[in-house]
Amino acid sequence: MIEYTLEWLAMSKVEEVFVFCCAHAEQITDYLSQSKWAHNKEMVVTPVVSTSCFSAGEALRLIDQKDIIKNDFVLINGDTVCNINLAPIVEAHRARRQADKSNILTMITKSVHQPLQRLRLGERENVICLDPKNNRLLKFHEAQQGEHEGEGSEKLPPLFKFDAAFFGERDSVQVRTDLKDTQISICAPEVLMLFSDNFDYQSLKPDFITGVLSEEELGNKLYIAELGRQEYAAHVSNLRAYDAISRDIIQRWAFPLAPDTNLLWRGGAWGPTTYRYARGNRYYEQAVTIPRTAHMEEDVVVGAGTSIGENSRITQSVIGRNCRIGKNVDILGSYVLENASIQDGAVLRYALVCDSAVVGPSAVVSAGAVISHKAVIAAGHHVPPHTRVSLCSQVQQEVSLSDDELEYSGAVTAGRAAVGKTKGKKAKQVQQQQQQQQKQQQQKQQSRREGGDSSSEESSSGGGSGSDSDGDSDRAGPLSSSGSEADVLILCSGPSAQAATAAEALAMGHMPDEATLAAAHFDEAAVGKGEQDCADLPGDDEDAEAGAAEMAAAAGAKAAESDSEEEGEEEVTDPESNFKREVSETFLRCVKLRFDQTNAVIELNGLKVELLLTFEEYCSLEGVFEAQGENGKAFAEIFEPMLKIIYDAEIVSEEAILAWADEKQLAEEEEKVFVKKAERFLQWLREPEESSSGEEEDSD
Amino acid sequence: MAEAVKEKPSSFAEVVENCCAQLRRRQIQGSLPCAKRTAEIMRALLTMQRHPDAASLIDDVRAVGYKLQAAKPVELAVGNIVRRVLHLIREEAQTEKSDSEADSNDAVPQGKADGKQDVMKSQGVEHLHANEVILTLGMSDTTYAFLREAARKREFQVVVAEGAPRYDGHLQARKLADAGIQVTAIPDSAVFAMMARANKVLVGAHAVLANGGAIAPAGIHMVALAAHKHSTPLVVLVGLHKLSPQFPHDPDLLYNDFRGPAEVADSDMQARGLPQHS
Repeated sequence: MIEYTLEWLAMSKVEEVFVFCCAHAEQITDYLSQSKWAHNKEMVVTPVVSTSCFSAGEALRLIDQKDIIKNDFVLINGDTVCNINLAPIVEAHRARRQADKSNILTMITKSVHQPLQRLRLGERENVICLDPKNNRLLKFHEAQQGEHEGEGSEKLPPLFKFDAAFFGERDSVQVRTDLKDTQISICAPEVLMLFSDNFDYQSLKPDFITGVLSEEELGNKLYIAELGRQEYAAHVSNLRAYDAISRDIIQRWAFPLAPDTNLLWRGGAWGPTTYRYARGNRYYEQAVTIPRTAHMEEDVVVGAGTSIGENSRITQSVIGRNCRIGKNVDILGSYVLENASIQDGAVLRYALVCDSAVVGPSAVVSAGAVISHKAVIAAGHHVPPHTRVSLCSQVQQEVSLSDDELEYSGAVTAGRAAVGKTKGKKAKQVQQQQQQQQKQQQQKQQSRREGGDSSSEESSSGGGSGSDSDGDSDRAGPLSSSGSEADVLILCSGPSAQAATAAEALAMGHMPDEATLAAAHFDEAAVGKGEQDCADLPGDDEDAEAGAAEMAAAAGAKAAESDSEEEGEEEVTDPESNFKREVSETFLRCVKLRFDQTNAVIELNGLKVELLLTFEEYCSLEGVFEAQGENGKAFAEIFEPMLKIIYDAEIVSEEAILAWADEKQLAEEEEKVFVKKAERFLQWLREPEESSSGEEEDSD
Repeated sequence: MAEAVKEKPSSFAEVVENCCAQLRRRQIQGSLPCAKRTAEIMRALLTMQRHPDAASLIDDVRAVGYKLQAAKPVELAVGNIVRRVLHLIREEAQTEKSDSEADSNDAVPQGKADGKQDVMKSQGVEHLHANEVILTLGMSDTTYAFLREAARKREFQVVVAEGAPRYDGHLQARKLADAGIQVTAIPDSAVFAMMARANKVLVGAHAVLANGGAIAPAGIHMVALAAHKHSTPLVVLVGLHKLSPQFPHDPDLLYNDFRGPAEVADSDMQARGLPQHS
């Protein structure tokens, strides 16, 4: 996807590009160094890597510190698809700047007449007030998500309130609801300075713009540039936008960024793209095998080396290179990436199948499903809508009770992480996982296996899903807004190899590492970075029962989600494992992910008390996030069961919990929140109970 | 930081890559500029690289030609120029003059531009008689130049059909009127009616193929049919660079240069027909 952006910039004769990467930094840097941009003299592309930024604001502050941008610059997301000619807009901006130094920002917007167009792209409605004489931006309001949910979950139109005095101040004000922000802005260096001054600005739209607009006395002015009819600009912020924008590209709205102009360089054995156009918006590359009986309906793109089976029907889809589509396959509105294999009789509806995945014969993949890298769907299996099937990760929340019941809760939080490419957005599943392991470990594995089996095969996780070099598909809130926040994650209890070694090494079962599931396109690094649970062994505290391994893996991967650009932050608690290898790997990954808290957490190993502190810290982090109204909320809800799990898992002893609760009595209000939540549990703890006594054997 | 002055790319491969990129991005508009660029690249090929004999030169030219043509397959002028160069090389090789290869290449681009001018000056006057009504459709630089030259010596009227959906007939009409020619602009639907009054039809084309067929902008076919019906002579004006030795059954040949719908339709159209999926 970054190719679209870079190609567009090259077309606009931009001379220097800085790609700010955070989450997938090595992948991006590698890709750039191998691509044609590395030796392009007309446009110099420089990656700027940072591991500690989680919002656009941070990124801009870093850039300001590094002082690499000295004059007006264009600020865009890394996944922008557009064909705008920037030159006249930049000229106008410069002219304004010359006239008055306080004209610091020009926001490029596109007028959108159909309200559904916005919905297509998953963008929010907004109201923009302009001064029509010079297009100066006076007010900018965006509908917050969920703000307009009425009673009975009707969608009321968003309500924006304006002060009447505001209208009185000027001769004329244009209030427009049809402008869609393309997230392309031309900024002056003062913008960077403002970001540095106001270090709590996280993102451009809500924070910076409202901040500047409200501080009119500083005199900074923002402007709007409106795009003409022929100019297309869109930015891929979620899976829905990915789909909508792909369709736009196939239907040539973003000309000349159409598939058959072969503008985009793609690596691999086939080299640059060689698409040819056929009527009905069909694009075929070379070496594509399509039998006479196959129906290729409209809006289809088929990559090189792919073969389609007989009687198959493909509509509105994109098939990557080297795919094998079987016979009688029905694909509608789907995206099948490289090397995937869709076997005979399968049905795909509006799904995303990532590279090297396999969809078994007669399987049905329903709308919104994402089959990740290398995942395999068994024959005849029906993948429910909006599910994600992946190899790695999954933090499953299991409450293992002493009666050996495996309770599988698919409840997943609204954890959204944005892993930025330049400033991209990504949604991750964040789940928390507590695992308990006792002698029932075997059984557990079994039950998990059963749980996981129905939808996919197990295979080693670990690195898990690779990411498509083409870019990240982003998924954010809007998807979850389609209803299901509970996404079922399936898969893999982890590397069987690891399990084997575990069994050998300790004669006990081991819970393999599991990472939380990340959304579709993920690379190894991301998964590693993102969410890793570590097998946790209280190393120094081996009880006499060598047979009983205790493991707890508390995975927290979450990210604060921001409007546009934030990076996934990761937190791994208690990496401790007898497998140094795993530990070191995890450490590396953790280290990659900035975060003081993370570091602090890592330092706490082993001891139960420290464990609890860690947990506390984690909780307090949760608290922090909750305060930001972000996905911490989800954690808050499961805080209590989480406590129980930890308790059951004997990670934390009863005394420790009580001690923690007592400590918190003196703490501030916000931290008390968690104590309150755990109140019930604490009550139960305090009561003398026979069942709990058995679990009080941990000693520190 | 990037330098203000763009230095010349140092290697020939980069020159070619640049040109390919520009062709793909549709930054070079029109057959003549494409042809000129191709000729320049051919010249650069000769100056930048030494070739011991004609065979290696031919191979190189062919390789570069493939690349350039693949960048924009619908632009046949690219291939035409390359073929001309190959022809010249083979001719020179036959007469066995190694030094004059460079000269022969230079002759190619200049020859084109000049040739067109001369032809128009001389033949324009012959083909058009006084008080004739010429019908044309859309915008064609060649036709415009032809008519402008002829108007110096002859009095005639031009009827221009607007050529929907781009309506560049309006542009043609404006330019001709500025050149002092009496012009009438008509909608495309009136072409058949006006054909009865037209003495000649002059159009431009994108390319002319080996069997005499022409690849022309949309609407010319309609004009040709009308002219056929009325037995009105139809003349297609093209520069030499548009003459292609290929036949229309060639599978590599693309007949249509598809652009984007944004030029004629509102990009919100998508949302109007939003399907039911989530």
